[in-house]
Amino acid sequence: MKNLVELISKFKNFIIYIFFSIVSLYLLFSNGFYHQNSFLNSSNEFMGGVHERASSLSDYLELEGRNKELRIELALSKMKLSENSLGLDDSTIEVVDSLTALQFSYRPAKVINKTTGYNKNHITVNKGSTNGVKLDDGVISMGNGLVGRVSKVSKHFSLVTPIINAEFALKVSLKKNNVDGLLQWDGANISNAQVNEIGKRVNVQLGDTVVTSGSSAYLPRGVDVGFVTQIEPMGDVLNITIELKTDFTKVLDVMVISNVFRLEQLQLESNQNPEGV
Amino acid sequence: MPIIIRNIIRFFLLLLFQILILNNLENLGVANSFILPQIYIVFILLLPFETPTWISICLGFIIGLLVDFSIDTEGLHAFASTSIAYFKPRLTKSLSPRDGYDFNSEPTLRDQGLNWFLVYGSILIFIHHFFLFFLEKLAWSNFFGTLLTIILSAVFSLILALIYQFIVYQKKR
Repeated sequence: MKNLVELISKFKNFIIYIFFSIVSLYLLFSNGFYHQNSFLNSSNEFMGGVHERASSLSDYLELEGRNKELRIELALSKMKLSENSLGLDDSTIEVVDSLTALQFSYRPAKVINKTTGYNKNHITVNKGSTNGVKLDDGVISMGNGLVGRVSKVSKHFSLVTPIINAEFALKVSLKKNNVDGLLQWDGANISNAQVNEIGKRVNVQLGDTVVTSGSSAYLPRGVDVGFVTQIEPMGDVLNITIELKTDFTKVLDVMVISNVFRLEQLQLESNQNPEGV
Repeated sequence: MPIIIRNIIRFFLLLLFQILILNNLENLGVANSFILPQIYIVFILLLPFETPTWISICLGFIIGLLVDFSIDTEGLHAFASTSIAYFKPRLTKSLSPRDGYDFNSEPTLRDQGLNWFLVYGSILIFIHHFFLFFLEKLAWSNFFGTLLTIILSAVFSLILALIYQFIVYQKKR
């Protein structure tokens, strides 16, 4: 017994070190544990508050550039309004009626914290469940470029998994011929990502635009993802590298997109196909 | 100022500097995802020689975990800073002068001199950054890219550690 006590006190430091290492490696490698416990991540109220204060300083510094960006966006939106365009085709008449219902609602939000240098990057935005943000909502930048999807929601903040996170994956398609591929990120460069699972017979050219496919319930069709910069055939498929539309070093204002009918769509799909899509 | 209060203040000062400034460089207008200096570990570097190792390890875990909370790195920083807290006493022992460290001296630039601190600081900072970035990437495909990030970040962390000590210990000289 005395020997045992001596042995433990001799290796006390090593035992404590191993204990804390196991705790931190458990946090790192057990997927989900970290995100399920909101007190552990930056979407909790305290860290969210700290980051929001810190970002108000940078807001001020960035004011001019962001105003310009918003003015451009406003001008582009105005051009899309029907009263600003000339009727070139008289055979169709546009009627505003109750036959259409809003499917996607947009909520402006501000990026208050983000990482870009890691393999699993995250973005924190200042809108949460009180503002109506739900888990898995899509997030786009002000210039209609894809940013990511909401992975965690607290009362006033949400955590976003951006494209530049190794765990991010999304069905995208080529704008010109609607061929679907899988968007993923290899961790090498924050301005590039990869589109996989496109067959080698598909006609893909450098500069082709890649957009969201709209097949997942959380994003509308046609949100810009990027354009093709590199094509490498590999076996039966093509390895396509795209340049991302969103500049993650500069993303500050974003929109959170909620699909009003998502629950309905998911329920319908899960009845049809129990494994999910 | 008593040594314990000085260390408590240093804990919060370096932690806040890390979270609000160094992890926020992009929001402050400096775009860079390549060089990621970590100044909070200077707190562990400057803990007194007499600190029991188990206390260093606990403090290393706590400060690393707080950095993890703030940028969602899920235990990465906690692991890296716990590790250097564990290695620190071994290193100070092997770097000690022939007749030991002076009584009441600290592992600082002022007390131990520039050469000693450069060796001591760069070894611990390199170990920390090595664990941090290799565990984070967990891939050997981009080996040289990761190594470059480690070396450049370590150089910047070391420079920040020196600047910190120049500012804090300036008056006592």
